Amino acid sequence: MTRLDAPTPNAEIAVPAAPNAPAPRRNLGPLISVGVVAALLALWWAVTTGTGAVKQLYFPSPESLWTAIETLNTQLLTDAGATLGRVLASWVGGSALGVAVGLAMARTRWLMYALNPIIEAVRPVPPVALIPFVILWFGIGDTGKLFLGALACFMVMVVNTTVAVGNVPPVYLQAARSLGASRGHVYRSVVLPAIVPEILSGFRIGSALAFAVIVAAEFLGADAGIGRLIMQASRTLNTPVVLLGTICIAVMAVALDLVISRISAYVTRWAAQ
Amino acid sequence: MSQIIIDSVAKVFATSRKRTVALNETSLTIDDNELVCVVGPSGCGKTTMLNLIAGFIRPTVGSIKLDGREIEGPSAERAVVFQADAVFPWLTVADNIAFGPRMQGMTRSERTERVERFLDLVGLSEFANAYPKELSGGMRKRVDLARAYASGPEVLLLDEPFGALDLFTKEAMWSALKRVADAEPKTIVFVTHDIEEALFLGDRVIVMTPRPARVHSVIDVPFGPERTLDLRADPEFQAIRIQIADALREVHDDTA
Repeated sequence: MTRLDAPTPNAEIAVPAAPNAPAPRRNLGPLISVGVVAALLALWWAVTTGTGAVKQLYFPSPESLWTAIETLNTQLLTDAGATLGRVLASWVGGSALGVAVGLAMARTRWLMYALNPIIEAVRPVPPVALIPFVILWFGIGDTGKLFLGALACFMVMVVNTTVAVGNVPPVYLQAARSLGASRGHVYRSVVLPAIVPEILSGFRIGSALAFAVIVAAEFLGADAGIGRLIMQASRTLNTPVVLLGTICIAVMAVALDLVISRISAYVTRWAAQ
Repeated sequence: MSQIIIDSVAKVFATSRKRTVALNETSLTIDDNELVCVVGPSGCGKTTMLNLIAGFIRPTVGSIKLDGREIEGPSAERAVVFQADAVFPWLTVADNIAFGPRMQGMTRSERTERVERFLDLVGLSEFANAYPKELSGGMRKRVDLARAYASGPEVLLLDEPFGALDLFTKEAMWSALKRVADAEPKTIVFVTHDIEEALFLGDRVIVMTPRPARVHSVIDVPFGPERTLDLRADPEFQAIRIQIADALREVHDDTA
C-alpha cells in the first residue's frame, strides 16, 4: 500500500552505498528510483482514469483522491496531526524508557536475570494482540493507544540496548582502563558513545513500529486519527479516503524516518560505513 | 624508577572441562627505562604475561611488582597498546590522545600541550581533527601509541602492536616508537613474534617456549641505542636472529 512513496528515500541511500559499484551506476541510481515512481504513477492513472480497467471501488483514481483531499480539507490535517502526535509521544517515551532499562540491565547482573524472562516472553507478542486488555484497562481514550505504542518501542529498545552494550569491543574497555579511566568513566566515555549507532538504528525501527501500532489502535475508536479516518471511510466503501489515509501514513512515516536518519548520520559521522 | 619484578609466576586458566597452563614458573626482572622484547610462537603465553603486568588478569601463583608494589589491577601507570584497533572511533585523533590526560584530570592547557607534543612526535599534527576512520591502519597505530604515551604511564606494554601491518608501515612504526621513546624514556615491554622487530627495538630479547609456557632464554642485544634500519644487514644482527630462530624451532619441534 505504501509502494507509491516508499522506494524514493530508501533507494537513494541504498544505491550509492553498494560497494565497488561501477561509477556510472552511481549517477543512474536516483534516476532509476524516480523513473520507477513515475512509471507507477502513470500506470495508476492508465488503469483507473485512462482505461477504466480497474473499478473505482477496487482502486481509486488519482482524480478521486484529489476530490477526497478537497472534501476532507482541514479534517485530514487534524487526523494526521492526531496520529503523528500519538506516534511521537509514544515513540519518545517508550524508547527513552527502553534505553534506560536496557542500560540498567546491561550493567546489573541480577536485574538482567530478573527482567530478561519477562521481556523475552512479551517481546514476540504483537502489541495489537493486547488491544482487548488495553481497552479494559484504559478505555478507548488516548492513554491506551500511547501505552501500546510505547510498549512496542520499549521492547525494541530494551533488546537493542542490551545487545549494543554487549557488542562494545572489550579492547576499548581495557584500553580505557589502562589509560586511567575509572569504571564510571569507562561507562560514560566508552560504553555510551560506542552504542550510539545501534541505539539510533533502534529508534528507526521503533518509529515505524509506533506508526503500525498507533494506527491499528485507532481503528478501534478514537476522536481523531488516520486509523479512525480509514475505518470510517471503509464502512461506507469510500475507497479514495482509505487510500488517502494509507498514503498519509506513508508520507509521515517516511518523513520521520528521514529526519531520524539525517540526524543519526550527523551524530555518527565518525562511524565507518 | 619503574622496575618490574616477575617472581615465579604461573597462570592457569581452568574451565570445568580442562586446565590450561598459560604461563609456568616465570621469573624476570625488567629494569627502569629498559625496552624488553618478548618473542615466542603463538600460544606461548606472551600475551598472558603482558595481561598479567597490565593487571587485566591476576597470577595463579607468584607475584608481579612494579617498584615494589604488587600489581592489583589495570591502572594509568601501565598503558597498553593492543594488536587490535583500540583507537576510539567516536573521538578525533586529538581527543583520543587527550583521553588519558582528561581521565587524570589535567587542565585544558596541559592537555593541549601534551596532545600537540605527541601528535608532532608521531607525525600526525595535520590529522588532529580527523576521525580514525579517515586514517590508514599504520596511522591509527600511531594514534594508539601517542595516546598510550600521552597518558604519562610509568610502563608501556605493547602486545604485538604492529602485527597486522605490512613491512614498510612496520618499519615506519619502529622509527616512530624509537622517536617517542627517546623523547620520553620509559620501561617498555614489547610482545611480538617477529624476531627482527624484537632485535631491532629491544635492549634485551626474552625467548619464550610454549607448553609448558616459560622463559627459554634471555639475550642481551649488543647494538646500543643508535640504530638504523641498515642494522639488519649487519652479520652480527643476522647471527643473533638465526640463533633465536633456531631456539624457537627447537622448542617448536619438541612440542610438535
